Amino acid sequence: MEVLTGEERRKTRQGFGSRPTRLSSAQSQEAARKIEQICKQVLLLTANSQELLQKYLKHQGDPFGQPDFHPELMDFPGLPSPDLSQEAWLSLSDAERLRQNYVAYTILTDFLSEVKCWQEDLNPNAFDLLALLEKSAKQALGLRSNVASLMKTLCFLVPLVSPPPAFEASPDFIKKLKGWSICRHYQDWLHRTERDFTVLAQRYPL
Amino acid sequence: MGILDKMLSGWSWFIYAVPIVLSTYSVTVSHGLTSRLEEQLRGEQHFISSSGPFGCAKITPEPSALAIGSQFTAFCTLNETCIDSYKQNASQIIWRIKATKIPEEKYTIINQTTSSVILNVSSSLESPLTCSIRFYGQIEQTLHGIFFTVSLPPDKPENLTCILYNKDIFTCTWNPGRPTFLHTNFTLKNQWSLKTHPDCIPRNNVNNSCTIPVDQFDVYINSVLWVEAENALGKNRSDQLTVDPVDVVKPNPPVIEKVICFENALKIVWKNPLDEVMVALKYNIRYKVTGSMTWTKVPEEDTATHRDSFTLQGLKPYTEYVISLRCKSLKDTGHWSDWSKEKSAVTLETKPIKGPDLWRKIDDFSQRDRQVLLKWKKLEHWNANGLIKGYTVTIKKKRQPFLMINTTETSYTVNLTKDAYMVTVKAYNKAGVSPESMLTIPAKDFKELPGVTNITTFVKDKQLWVEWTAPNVSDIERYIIEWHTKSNSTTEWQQESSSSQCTFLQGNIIPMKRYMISIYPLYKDGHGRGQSIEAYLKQGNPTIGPSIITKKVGKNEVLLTWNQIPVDDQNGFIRNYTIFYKPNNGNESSVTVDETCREYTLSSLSGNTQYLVRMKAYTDSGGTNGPDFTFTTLKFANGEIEIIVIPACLAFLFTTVLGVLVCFYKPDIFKKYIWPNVPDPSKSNIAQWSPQTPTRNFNSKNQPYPECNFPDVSVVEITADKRSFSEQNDIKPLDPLKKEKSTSEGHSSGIGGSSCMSSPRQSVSDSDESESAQTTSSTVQYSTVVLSGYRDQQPPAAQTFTRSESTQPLLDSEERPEESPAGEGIPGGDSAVQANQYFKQNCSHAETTGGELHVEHPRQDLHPINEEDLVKLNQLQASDQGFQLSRAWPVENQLEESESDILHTNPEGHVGMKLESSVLSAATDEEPKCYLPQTVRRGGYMPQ
Repeated sequence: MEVLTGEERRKTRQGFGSRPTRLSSAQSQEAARKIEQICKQVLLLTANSQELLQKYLKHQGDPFGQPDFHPELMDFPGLPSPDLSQEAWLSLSDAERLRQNYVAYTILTDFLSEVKCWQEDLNPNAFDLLALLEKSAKQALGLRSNVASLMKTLCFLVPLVSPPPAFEASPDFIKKLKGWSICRHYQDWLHRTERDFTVLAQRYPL
Repeated sequence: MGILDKMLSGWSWFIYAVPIVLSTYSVTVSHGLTSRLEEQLRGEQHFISSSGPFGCAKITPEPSALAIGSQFTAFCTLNETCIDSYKQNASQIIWRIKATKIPEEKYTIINQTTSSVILNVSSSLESPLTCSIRFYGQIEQTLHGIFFTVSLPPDKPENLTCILYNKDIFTCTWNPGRPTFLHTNFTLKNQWSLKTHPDCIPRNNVNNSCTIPVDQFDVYINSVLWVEAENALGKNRSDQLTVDPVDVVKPNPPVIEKVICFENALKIVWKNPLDEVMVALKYNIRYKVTGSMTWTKVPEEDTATHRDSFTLQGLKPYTEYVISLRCKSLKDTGHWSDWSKEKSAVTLETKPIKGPDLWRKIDDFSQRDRQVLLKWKKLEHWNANGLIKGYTVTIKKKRQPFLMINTTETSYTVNLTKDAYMVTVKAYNKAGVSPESMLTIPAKDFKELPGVTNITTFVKDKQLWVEWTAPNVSDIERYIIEWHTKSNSTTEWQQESSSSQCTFLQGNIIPMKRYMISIYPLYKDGHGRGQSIEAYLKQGNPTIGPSIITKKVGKNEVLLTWNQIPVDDQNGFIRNYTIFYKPNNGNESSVTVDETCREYTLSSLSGNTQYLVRMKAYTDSGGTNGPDFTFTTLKFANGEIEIIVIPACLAFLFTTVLGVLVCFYKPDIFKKYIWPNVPDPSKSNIAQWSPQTPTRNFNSKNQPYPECNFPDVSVVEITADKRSFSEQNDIKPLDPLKKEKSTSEGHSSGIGGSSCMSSPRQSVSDSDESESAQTTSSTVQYSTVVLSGYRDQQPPAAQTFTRSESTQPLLDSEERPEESPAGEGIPGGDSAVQANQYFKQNCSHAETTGGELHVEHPRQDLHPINEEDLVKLNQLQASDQGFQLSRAWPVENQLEESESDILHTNPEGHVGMKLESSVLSAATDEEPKCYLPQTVRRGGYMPQ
């Protein structure tokens, strides 16, 4: 869970809105390069997330993978929703936009690691899925690091995120559903990040 | 040492002696202990004794390594118990560094138990460091020692760089710095912004690189990297490197999956080593014709997007190409991949784009017909555009088809008449037929068109080039260049376009072979006049040198000649020759001769000298010597002998002729000097009492030859001494007659012995006697004869006794018998004999008649009726022998007179006979056999 101190909230609020003017040219260039790098990373991770989702469904058995199987996406406490209204998303400040991304990928990293643990029990022979889950968790961590690095470059405070509560024991099917939901959230957040950084790339051009 | 001296000074003499004995032991023990100590310490790094004297001290600190350039202070501390037991203190401590004592000035006595030493650590410092002490003042015992390593702390790692091999292997390398001589750990630290990855530890004692596991990095995530180096002497770390692995990626080479072929294009399809979402790539694509060395690169801007296929265009049909490519991050960061594995593909065929080059060779084998060898070249690959399946040859005569054939060969022989023909050749492949090549075979009486001019050759880029000036006409279609070697009749040729004015010979041109190159311009109606030139691709030294020989040798000059080197052995154009010649024991000289010469005259040579000559032929490359040749100049020049001999002969001949002429015309001159006066027997007083010469009968019928007319000589024996008479020289003229004794014509007079012949038949035995008498004639002098008188008779007082003052014999021929044959040999030899006989006859007359008449009768006897005898007499006078004989007379005037008398007093011959008869009668009493028979027979008056 995100925990911000009063000072952090104040600084965060300063980051909202227009581009900070206190950045030097070098900082701006570094921020732009970071944004470009994250854009490419997000593209790569998005492609991987699609592959992850396909592989996940492939190894979970029926009804997973059925064309007409569209279970409802589960929500997880502490994981920000990638879906915002257009107005809300546009009104996000850079700092808040980055903060939400940072928080999401911090939690998703843990969630993906948890899913890997579940799958190791549920599909211990699905090596490609397990490797992909591990890779996705690592990439989510990497994306989180990059976002944090950008935030530092932009002099935004990196929020402290408390670890999410442990998952309650649940049946395998529920685990599979949770896992699928986490993979979907991961993919959705990547799409959201892609859009976010497209905006940021415009604000911090090279 | 000072302490030891103090100790020794206070001890008694025997105490002093003991350590001397023990000192040897102590050294041995000490050294032995040191060795053992070293061994023990090597295993344990340091040594601490637990009992005895070796537990008495300890060195502190005990570093395993000492940094080079630093100072190290060691302390050796003695136990209190040892001090008490051995009565020693720290002042007796001796420091050694590997058996070498450290100077005491470096010692510091801290207190009674502790001594310290300061070492400057250098790379030459060797362990162990020991402290020892002398027990009993003499025996040095090592108490403790430490081993250490002289080493360096790690340098700061420099130049940390990383590379991502494709997407899996992320390797970083660095420069570890100087060797530390000590085990040093290198650790590659790797962090993300919010995550610290495990350290990367190099494997297998590698100290300059480490590969980060794949789960500890990712593309588009900055990794913060640095290297930490640490050993016993210290720790150091490199600068941090923040790198996104994607920026240092070296992709694997793309893999060409397939190549799709077209007539003029190839489409390459490959598989990228990295996904575009991971790393967008750009490419280098290269291709070349198989066998070519040069690659053609596709412009980089055409391949600066991530892709997996590319189409090469503008390629040649039916050509095999080799293709490869490589890739790199589109951001132009990182490294180019290696080139992909090459892949070959062949473009599709199209029809040939030109006809084959066409030429001919015409052989006229009759007045009407010609054998024409049509020859054409295979199309070059880039013109054939495919596999040529054959050629279509069409011959037209006056625009009417004459012949059409299909062949796979590149030549065709056809017999044509003297008319003009048009030949066309077309090549065809699977895709189509080429344009036709045309060649006009002009009529036999065709007048050649203008040829090229100013042909020159040169060598460039190891090719033989030929250059020419085109004829001043505009309708030249192309040129044909023909060439062949001098020794090989196979002609090669090539075709050049009408715009060409130089080209290189596109064949296997062999260096050092002479080529005859001809150029023919081709016009629409025929060919122009061929112009030729000889050339070499590269000239070399002649294979053999010219063989030089002499053609004519003189005294001071020699004419040398040589043969031209065969063209195949010339290896170049002979530019000149150099003749080297060297006399025996002399210096070598040389002369350069123009290459057109085939003979040369060396002059100013020494006569009668042996010379060694050789010839060197030079090309532009160099020269080669021919074989040596030796000759000897003549001793005399041509004609020199003639010049000497002919004048000498002429001079001799002239002298001879002159002498002869002088003899003829001035005989008196020689008489004076050559024939001294000889006493004339006819004028001698003794002649008055000489026996009468009997009258001779002359029968010309029976004696046709003069010599036969006077075979007998009347000799007056004027002394009883046979020996004195035997020396009469007037016998000598009879010598030639001796040879005729066997013919019963013996004429020996028998003077000087009883040899006077009574008959010619008996003269053989008589002549022997007379011959023996002749051998002593040289010692007889007339004076003896005269003074002794004849048989002691005194001459009448009224008569004047005249004797010759000469001591010379009457006939030189007797003194020089070798001259006799000459007299015999000459034509007048017989006459000479006659002269002698005449002289003897004359003598007889003189003895008988005295005065002038004494010579007339004999001559009447000799030549009264035979004119040939007169002629012979003249001949006798003309000959030397004749002169000699004539000159035997002491009074030459008498001879002349007598000669004239011979011609005029023949009728008086009987007077002489009477005189002879009177002499004969006077002599008969004494020696009748000596002369009477002769006179009787000759004269015919005296009865026998």
